[in-house]
Amino acid sequence: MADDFPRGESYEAEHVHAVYEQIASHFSSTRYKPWPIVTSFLSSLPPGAIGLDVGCGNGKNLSTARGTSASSLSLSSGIFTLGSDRSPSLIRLAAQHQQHRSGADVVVADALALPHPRCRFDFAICVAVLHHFSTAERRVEGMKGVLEVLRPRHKVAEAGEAGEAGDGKGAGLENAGDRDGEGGKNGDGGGKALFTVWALEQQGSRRGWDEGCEQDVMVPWVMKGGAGGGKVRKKGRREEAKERLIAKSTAEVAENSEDGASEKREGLGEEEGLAAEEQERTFHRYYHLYKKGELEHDIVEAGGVVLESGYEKDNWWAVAARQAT
Amino acid sequence: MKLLTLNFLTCARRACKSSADAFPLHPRDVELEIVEAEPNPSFLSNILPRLEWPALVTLCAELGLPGLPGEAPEVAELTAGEDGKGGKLAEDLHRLLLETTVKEGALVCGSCGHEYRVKEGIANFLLPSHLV
Repeated sequence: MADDFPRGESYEAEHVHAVYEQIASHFSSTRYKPWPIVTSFLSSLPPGAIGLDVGCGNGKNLSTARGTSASSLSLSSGIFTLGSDRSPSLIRLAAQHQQHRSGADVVVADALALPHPRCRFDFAICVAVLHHFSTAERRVEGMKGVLEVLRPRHKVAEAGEAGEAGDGKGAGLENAGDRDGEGGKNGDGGGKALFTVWALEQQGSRRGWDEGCEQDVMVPWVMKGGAGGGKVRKKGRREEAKERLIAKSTAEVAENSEDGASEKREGLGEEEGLAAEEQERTFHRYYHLYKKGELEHDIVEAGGVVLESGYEKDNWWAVAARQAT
Repeated sequence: MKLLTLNFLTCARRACKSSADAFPLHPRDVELEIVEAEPNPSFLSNILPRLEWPALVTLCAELGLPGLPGEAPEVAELTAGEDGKGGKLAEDLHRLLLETTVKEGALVCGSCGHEYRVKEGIANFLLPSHLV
């Protein structure tokens, strides 16, 4: 289980942001393929849709966008996705891949302080991000921020909706009626967001988490061969050992990824682990594992409505829109 | 960062979200760079209705870029022409929105005055803790 320090912004700065900065390059090399649910969501969008990828990491989902590939011959459609991430290192990697594409761009931003006008966007994806917020309030807050950039669900009624006073721009609202990419599920035309989070219920995975387990966990990331080793701050061995113990109590065998795409960490004994420290470094990221129904509950809490939801490969996902008023 | 992207950015501070002055952000001391991108007339015409045209006009004026009409062109104007490629207007917009990028400089909020840096083509919207 995660340690006893009060959670919140500074906790995440240490146990999420700092870790991603240090593992960015290695992490990125294991992230190249979008998950099926993400591909299917993006494929459902109408041509010309404008959206966000909040917490885009190295931008692996930006490249999926239909028609944005420079090599694609079917350029008849296409969406524009503006990606953002808290980690400047990951955004630098994303920028390298995106600069010659018409359909994407990236900026460095915090998901809790997004630099986007409200009510402008047709879609948003927020993939494997919310589980890094360390309190329930911040997880709901993160969702709210994503939902409020979406176009509201009604053409006229949204003008009086709380929290939008002064926006008054309304670009694209006149198109609201014909922007239904999902055959009636979102028939009144508002924007929609896809959220995915790591699930507590992972009977099928090698991590062994399941219903009833601790939801707030530290998950190890093992960096092999001293990648980035020279540059990173060395932790004290006692600190390392403590963290490894925490991790071991969480999962006997941990892996480097929430989608199983990366190498597997062998179940090192404590002494072996310390001996192997020269070759590999272990970082721990904080995760809140969502239990069944929690994602949907949070969406409602954040003022949204759930259009669809489900489970895919150790993750809960949901498509949400703003509450119609 | 593409000029198109600036049409979808505002100040990251919550207090500025409801201020009309916060959008669009104002470029300061920027260095522009042309980064080639694959021409895609239909992509352009698809996103055209989603743009805040007046904000684009403001941006171009502030950057000293010439030639943008005061009113948004019709989608049909972009797809006109015998080859369906919309001719010069489509080319100009492609150049402006998708190939003209901000390489260095700052973006300033017209409401609170906060300045966001752009370095090596990447804008940074992280706020210092006292502004969060």
